[in-house]
Amino acid sequence: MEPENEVDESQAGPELPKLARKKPKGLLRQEKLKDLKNKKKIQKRDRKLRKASGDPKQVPRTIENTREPDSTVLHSDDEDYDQKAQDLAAEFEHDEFADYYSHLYKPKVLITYKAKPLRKVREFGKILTEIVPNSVRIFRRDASVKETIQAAINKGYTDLIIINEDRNEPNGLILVHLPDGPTAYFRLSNVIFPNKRQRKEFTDHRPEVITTNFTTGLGKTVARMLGAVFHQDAEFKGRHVVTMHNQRDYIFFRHHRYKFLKNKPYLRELGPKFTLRLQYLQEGLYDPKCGEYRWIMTDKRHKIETSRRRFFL
Amino acid sequence: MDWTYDAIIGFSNGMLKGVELKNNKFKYINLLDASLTLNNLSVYDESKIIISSKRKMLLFDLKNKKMSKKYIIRESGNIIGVFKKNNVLIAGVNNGMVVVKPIKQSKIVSEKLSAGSHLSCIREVLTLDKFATGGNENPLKIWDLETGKVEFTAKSPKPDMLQLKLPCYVSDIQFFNNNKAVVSHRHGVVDLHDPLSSQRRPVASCKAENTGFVSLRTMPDYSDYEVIVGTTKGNIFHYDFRGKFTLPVKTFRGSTGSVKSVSCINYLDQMHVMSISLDCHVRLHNFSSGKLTMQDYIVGKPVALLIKP
Repeated sequence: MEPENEVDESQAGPELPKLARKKPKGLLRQEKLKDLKNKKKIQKRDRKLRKASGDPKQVPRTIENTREPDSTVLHSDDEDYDQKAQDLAAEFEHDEFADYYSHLYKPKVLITYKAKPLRKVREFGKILTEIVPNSVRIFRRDASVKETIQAAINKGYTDLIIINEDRNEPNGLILVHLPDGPTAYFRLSNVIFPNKRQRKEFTDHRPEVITTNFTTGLGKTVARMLGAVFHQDAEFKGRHVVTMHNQRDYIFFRHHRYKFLKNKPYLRELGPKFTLRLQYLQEGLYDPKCGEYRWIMTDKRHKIETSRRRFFL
Repeated sequence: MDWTYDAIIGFSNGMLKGVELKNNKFKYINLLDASLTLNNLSVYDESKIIISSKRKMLLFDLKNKKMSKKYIIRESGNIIGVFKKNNVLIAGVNNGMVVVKPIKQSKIVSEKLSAGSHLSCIREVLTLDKFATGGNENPLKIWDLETGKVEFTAKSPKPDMLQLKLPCYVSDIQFFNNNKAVVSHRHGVVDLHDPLSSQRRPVASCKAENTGFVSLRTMPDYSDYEVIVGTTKGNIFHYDFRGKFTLPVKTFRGSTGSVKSVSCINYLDQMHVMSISLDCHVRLHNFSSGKLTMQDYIVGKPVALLIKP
């Protein structure tokens, strides 16, 4: 740029004013609006043309459909898809939840809190016990998590939920499948309690459970783990649904009551609403010091989260 | 020689797969379908391997892909490791017993040795008629096979500067060619013991923070001081016991789950580190550069890795 300027000065002689006079603000806004209007006009015209030509609709680019390919997601057009699908079926036949999914036992769930829970967390636990069938909640007092696990195994519980809190706000959830693992730790956020009207609609019926959008190998394990907390045979008379939906590694928990009016489904939210985020999945029972992790994010988030289009569930 | 595979991977549901390394790809051959819970694998001879499952030891023939023999031990607890030495099968059980079973004469009652509670690891010394055991709060013991007596017992770790007791949880043991023992601990310590010296505490040790060590392997005919260990959080460290530094020489990254087993393998005339981890992947790292050469998803949960002897 500099040499050009020098040439200009020598040819043009007197120096031009460096800045042109500033346009008034109103004029600028008007111009902007005009541009916008033109742009919208062009867009509208293009849309009309596209519709008229009969081309297939374009798919918008979202983070979900441009996510980085994961090796543990099975696609039907893979080379060794059949072998892998077979292996996956064999794996699920022999893992820790195989007994549950072949109807061999009915889950019995124990819900506890941190050592001295405050009101809000107790309330949260109470609502969870109402949703999860065949569940009991206790205060574990000064018993450690490991002691609680041993006691729960001796009493024949099949799952254990421990809710942690911070400043009167539930913020963590440990889910242990008994008697021999695995253990998962979720970060719990955005807990919204059901209001009075919603609490009135709670019934004792066993809800239906839906886990959606878990695609990877890890995701499938987590979905199986979350599903195994609830009873297998739902009572359809109650018309309750518990949904655990995975989106961008966040698991959304929703509780609805449904109704069919003129063959159209209508949903009514019952609550609570909360979001789970997997922090680690551990092999075996809870053992933060010596335990082996199947997948861990704590301490190495920056190494794992290399891109915002990379998801693990 | 029936080992046509470069390695064999054993899965927790009893599946066995042979692995061949070809043209930058892993090629799998199904050896056994899922049927039993697999705990451990070890080499029997040139064409057979030993599979241990709960309280059973099974001989698996690689040639015709069938089980050939079965041994059952009468102990309460699962087998944590088996190996064959001089026509004897030696199995460690996690209730603390070591069972010595003769292979041919089935009528002779098997010998039993008590190796302390919470046994978690049993390994043979390749060059001598000895074996080593260790476990939770059960430091390294080296036994003589003939007499059945303890030859060397390591002392539990030194208390820290506040004189508090430090935990001891042996996860794996290996031996160098000069018969020095390396012990990895679940609390993130690797110790080098010298059984010949009078010192029962470790001669040298390396530490890592926030992780534990699960698997351990000495370098094959490389050096008497170098070792690679796999951690519970998915790193593989390369340690050297020479010198003062206790930090790892090199780190092999890439895994997000606990490294169940590591081994060294020769591929394309270069030393490579092969590992299986609980996030269901096989990985191959270049040893000299430390870079990840290959990785593949193997669907099942791997437990054991056997490299062609």
